[in-house]
Amino acid sequence: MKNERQHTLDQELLSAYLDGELRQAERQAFETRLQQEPELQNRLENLRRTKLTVGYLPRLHAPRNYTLTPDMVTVRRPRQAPIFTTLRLASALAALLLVALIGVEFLFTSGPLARPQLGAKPMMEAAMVADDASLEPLILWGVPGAGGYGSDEPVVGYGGGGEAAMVEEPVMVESMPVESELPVEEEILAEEAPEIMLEAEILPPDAETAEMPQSPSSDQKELPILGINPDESGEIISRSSDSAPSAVPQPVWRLIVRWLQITLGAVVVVGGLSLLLLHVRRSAV
Amino acid sequence: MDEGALIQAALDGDLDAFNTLVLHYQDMAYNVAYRIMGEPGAADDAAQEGFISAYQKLGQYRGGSFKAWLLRIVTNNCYDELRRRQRQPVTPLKPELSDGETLEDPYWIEDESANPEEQTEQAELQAAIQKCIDQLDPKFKVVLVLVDVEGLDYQTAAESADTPVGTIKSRLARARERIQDCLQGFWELLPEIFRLRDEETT
Repeated sequence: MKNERQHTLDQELLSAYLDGELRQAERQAFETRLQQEPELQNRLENLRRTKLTVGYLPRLHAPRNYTLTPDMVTVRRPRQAPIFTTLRLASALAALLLVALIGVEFLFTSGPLARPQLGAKPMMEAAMVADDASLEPLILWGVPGAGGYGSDEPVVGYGGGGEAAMVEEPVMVESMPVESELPVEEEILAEEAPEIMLEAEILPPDAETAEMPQSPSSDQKELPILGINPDESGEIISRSSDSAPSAVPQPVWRLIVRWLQITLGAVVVVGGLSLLLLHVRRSAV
Repeated sequence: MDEGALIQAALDGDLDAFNTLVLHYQDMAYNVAYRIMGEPGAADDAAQEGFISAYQKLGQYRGGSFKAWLLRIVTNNCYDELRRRQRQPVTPLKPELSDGETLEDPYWIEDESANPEEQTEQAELQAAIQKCIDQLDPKFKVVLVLVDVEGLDYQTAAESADTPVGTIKSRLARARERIQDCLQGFWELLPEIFRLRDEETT
């Protein structure tokens, strides 16, 4: 193994020595070895003859000219101006972003990630609120005697304006003989549902839980009922019907997306037109 | 020939300037390609493709020896073709004799100074050398051709083969050793000055 390695190293030294590619110190050391080792001299001579033999091959001439014609290669044009590359890159990037934005907007408005239809929202949210036991009980202070015995006024609701919320808090009205009037109340709620739904869009969750249909005499003095101290009761909400917005506002993110789309579209159009102009001018030259 | 000016003109789209370079280097390109490929048709293709590639890649030329850069392209073409042939072996078009030897390439029988007998001997010797080169592994073959056939120094050969100088040194030593072993089989063809010492003593 060692002899084989030494043989390979010697062969490299012989080859490099023959070509004059050894450094001064290497060459002197190798020449000293050559004088002492006849076998190494023999190998050097054989290597020299081998190199001479290979060099005996004649230098061939090309059988034909390899000159190029315009048909063989695309004629090299002068390098493109940096503005050309920049415009092309900017337009391509803007186009990609525009497509991506349109896709995202579609997903969140009409696609699978779109929010549920507005009509189903109030009932769903009311049910969720009713399940939340941590919420502070709310009592509407409005009609004198409302919820009490002997009142001629219908009980107009309790909690977040939803059917579930009314059922969830029986303690507050446990002996009220008004159950037979619930269908009437449901009809009222059903009629007002669209309006309530719209408010749910813009009010915070706490406010939603306090939402309820207003008593016809809500402008009357608010009085306690069922012997509950007003100081210990929940928040008293006074609601007027004119607080509902008249139109659905656009979410902020949609406005931002819209402006981004317009800006990117402008970049694509301006960039494309500029590239076209530059291309026409270069072709004319 | 102002090589730098011609390269710059070619970079600016002057095909005639590049063709001046082609005419200057085409013999070298063909010779190297022939010694690596071992047949004129493949060498012709490799050389022509090399010049086309060189023109198309001229923008990547970063100074230094243009000769070495051009040879790198040509040898790479040869490498690619040899690899392709290894994957899909082809039958040579040269007619073969009954003993398996190929007929000499008529191109080699061109030395008008020699008589017919000498011409035949020369052709046989050249065929034997080429056959030994053909048997080498491509990476050894390229180095041997660049240094011993084309006469490049180690540094230029390293640039042409895109290989470190140390690798050139070791590959060349092994290539020469293998060629030496191969040529022993054609001992009777070698003129006296080419015969190895071992052969003389036996």
